Amino acid sequence: MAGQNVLSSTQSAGRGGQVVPFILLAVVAAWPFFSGPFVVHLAILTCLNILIVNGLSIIERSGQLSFGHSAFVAIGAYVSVLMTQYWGTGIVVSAIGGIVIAAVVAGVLGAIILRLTGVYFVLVTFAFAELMRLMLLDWAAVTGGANGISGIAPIDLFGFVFDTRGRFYVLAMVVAIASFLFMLRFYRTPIGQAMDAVRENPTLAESTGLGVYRLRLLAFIIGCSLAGFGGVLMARYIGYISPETFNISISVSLITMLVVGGRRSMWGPLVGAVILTPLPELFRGAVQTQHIFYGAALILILRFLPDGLASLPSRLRKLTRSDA
Amino acid sequence: MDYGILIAQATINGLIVGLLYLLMAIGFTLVFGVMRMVNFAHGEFYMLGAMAVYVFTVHMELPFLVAVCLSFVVAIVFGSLVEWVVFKPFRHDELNGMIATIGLAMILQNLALIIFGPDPLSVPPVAQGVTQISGVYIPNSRIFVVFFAVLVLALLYFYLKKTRSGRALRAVVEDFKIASIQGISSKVYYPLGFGVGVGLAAIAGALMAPLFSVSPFVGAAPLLKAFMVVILGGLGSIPGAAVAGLALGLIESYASLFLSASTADMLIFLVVMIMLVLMPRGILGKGEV
Amino acid sequence: MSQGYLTVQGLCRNFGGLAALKDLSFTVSKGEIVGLIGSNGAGKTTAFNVISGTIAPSSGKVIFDGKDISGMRPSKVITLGLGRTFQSTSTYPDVSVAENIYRGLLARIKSSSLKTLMGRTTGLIDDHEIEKEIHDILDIVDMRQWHDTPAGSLAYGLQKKLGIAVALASRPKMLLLDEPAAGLNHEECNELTALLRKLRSDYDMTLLLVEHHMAIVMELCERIIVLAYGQKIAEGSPAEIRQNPAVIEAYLGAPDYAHA
Repeated sequence: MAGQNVLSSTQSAGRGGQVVPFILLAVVAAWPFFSGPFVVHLAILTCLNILIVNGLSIIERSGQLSFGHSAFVAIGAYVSVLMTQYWGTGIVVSAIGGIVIAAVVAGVLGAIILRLTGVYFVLVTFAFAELMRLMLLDWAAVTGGANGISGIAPIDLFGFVFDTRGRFYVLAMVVAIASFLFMLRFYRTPIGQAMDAVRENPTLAESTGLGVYRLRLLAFIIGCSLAGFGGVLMARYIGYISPETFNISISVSLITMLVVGGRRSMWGPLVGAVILTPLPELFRGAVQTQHIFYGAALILILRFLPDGLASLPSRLRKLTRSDA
Repeated sequence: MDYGILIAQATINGLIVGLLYLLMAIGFTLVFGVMRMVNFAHGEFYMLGAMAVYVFTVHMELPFLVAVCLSFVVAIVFGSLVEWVVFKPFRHDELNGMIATIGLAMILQNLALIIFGPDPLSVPPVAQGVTQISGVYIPNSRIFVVFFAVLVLALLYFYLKKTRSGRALRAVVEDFKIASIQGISSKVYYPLGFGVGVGLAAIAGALMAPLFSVSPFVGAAPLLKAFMVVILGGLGSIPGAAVAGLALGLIESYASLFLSASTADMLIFLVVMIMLVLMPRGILGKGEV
Repeated sequence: MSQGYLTVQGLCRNFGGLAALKDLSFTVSKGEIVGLIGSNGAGKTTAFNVISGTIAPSSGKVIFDGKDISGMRPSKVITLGLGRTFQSTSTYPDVSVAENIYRGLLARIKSSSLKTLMGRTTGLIDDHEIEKEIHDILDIVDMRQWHDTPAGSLAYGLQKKLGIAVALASRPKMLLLDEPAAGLNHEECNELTALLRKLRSDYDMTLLLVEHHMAIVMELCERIIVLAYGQKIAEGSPAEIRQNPAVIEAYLGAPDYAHA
């Protein structure tokens, strides 16, 4: 596109260092193939989180922070599973169903709250996530209530069944990489650029013809759809879903991943998911200590590295440059 | 079935719960009004109040009223300190400050879990027995709680209306821009606003402690309720928070007569959304949009 | 009242108990350069905000180029040809100058789904015209040499010029300028005056300025409208306004005048 040469590299890792992150990524991605099943399990969860946090990132990059992202993961999971359960639909149709419903709900919710000050968005999305959990608990007849739904069949795509961890990891990795590439591409299109503009200076953007409300609504719908897709896949990997799988603390972890990873970088969701998904393992059951660590890490990152870990390379570069 | 008694009972219960929602919501509105920040740790200060009362009454065997006052003092001091130490860098960076309160909430809840464990603990009741007023039964402990809550509210009203610092605090909440033009010092009012705000949450938790059991998890539901009340009452409106708090308590109480608890919650969420569409400035029309 | 290019009719705007604008009416004719002056709190910025659509009027009408734009949101108003600049935060500091302009013309790109999202049909440009358009806009404000500089690192005067350039990227027919001279030194003020005159003579633009800098107002504007307490208290040529006793009492006597 003609406008491309105008775009500065504010989002890339820098001229020379552009190759290094990809090499690192390839190494990290390949590593599970040479490790035990538990590492593969963590890698799958990480990949799904990359997809979901990318969705959260899209919403955040239009200038709003969703505190109810887990609710949309839940919608994708439950709708797709229930479609298969009640109507016997295959993975493709169920996935579409899950994603579409997530998008529609996001559209309705967003249409109401995006016209108001940003604080309402925070309060309502938070309340919505809690409401979703309560609804899932309450409609026990349909959703299985607190017991959830178990024995979810693995993905059967035109005869190829993803019933082993290795196979699912490949699928999850492809999806994660696809979401990353989607983000790269999307933010080079005029709509993506417009969303960045809206986030950076909404009044200015609005005055040049970029409708803030519409763009934020679109971002919310797309972001929640990605979350829904993540839910669809997660349900068929773990084989079991319950209202507790999608509670508020999940929304909080997703935000933590995005903030710690970096809100201003394409690599943010990736870094956040890769670092924070396996972290519970380090703490080996000392859950409280782990959460205290999360809380402290969040505050420290916000204070000293507000653009997240992904901004570390450019920060260090600036430091060394000013020393010279 | 005497529906009159049922409704009266539900009204009393609703008002009692509403009083506590009111305390939570006013505290939350104070913090938001002064710091322009959604305080996700507000529920954990409620929990702090409850746990503090537990420690003071069960472990230190202090009388309930003393325990409540001490809890308030602890919360106000701790809150101001936390604001000054942790949130000062975020004073003009509300979005990041808000996320930081999530970190604080995580830390507070898990510290409490480490100290007290996850199981519910009970605080001895304030009073025994039941009073009957024309067919309606009210446990005496609840009467005490209502009495204390009303006392706290009266003191709060006096503070906000009559004292200089209270009036300034109110001015900051109700019109942030004008107050800052008049040079209200952020050095004083940020920690004060946060301290008083979370102090009110702690009092709510302290007063509720003998009525329900306490645990590190008790903060989550009041936080959500505070959100709903603030939306219904209008962001930044203290009177709105008061009216909406009572209203929410009543709605919940009546709804639970006919619906299951989670259906009632769904209904309330729906009411909140409808209010946002029809009256975004809140019940009293004094909130910001 | 004759129909001007921009007509403001009986405009009122209340904030709670405060009437920021009280029955304000004036017109601006095509090709004019008009100044809007008054002391702080007189309602100038509120008037701009209402006209450009940032806030809705409590009552009254705004008519631009024959169309009623009262309460229309800014992203729609700009498509009709009415643009504005802002006093502060007038640029995107984290990206380059060229990218600032690019963002300013995003809504006009014909091939993008953004255009469909916003429902725009006028002033569209093709992909291959984008770079030239950016260069043309930069040439108008004489900032070509800053093409790749991050906007945030520019000197203050240049940032303000960039703000005007971003507004020009929508190719508006009329521009509302909110204190364009604030914080500019003597030389930059001269540049500004020359630029605004050029916009009118070479690009057929109509200009309405809010300004405190009296020298610029008196020199540049053909007509001046004076506001006090949300109402128009005087209107006329610079000479007339300078001698108007009500204006002198309400405003020109005030310390602001020392800027001239």
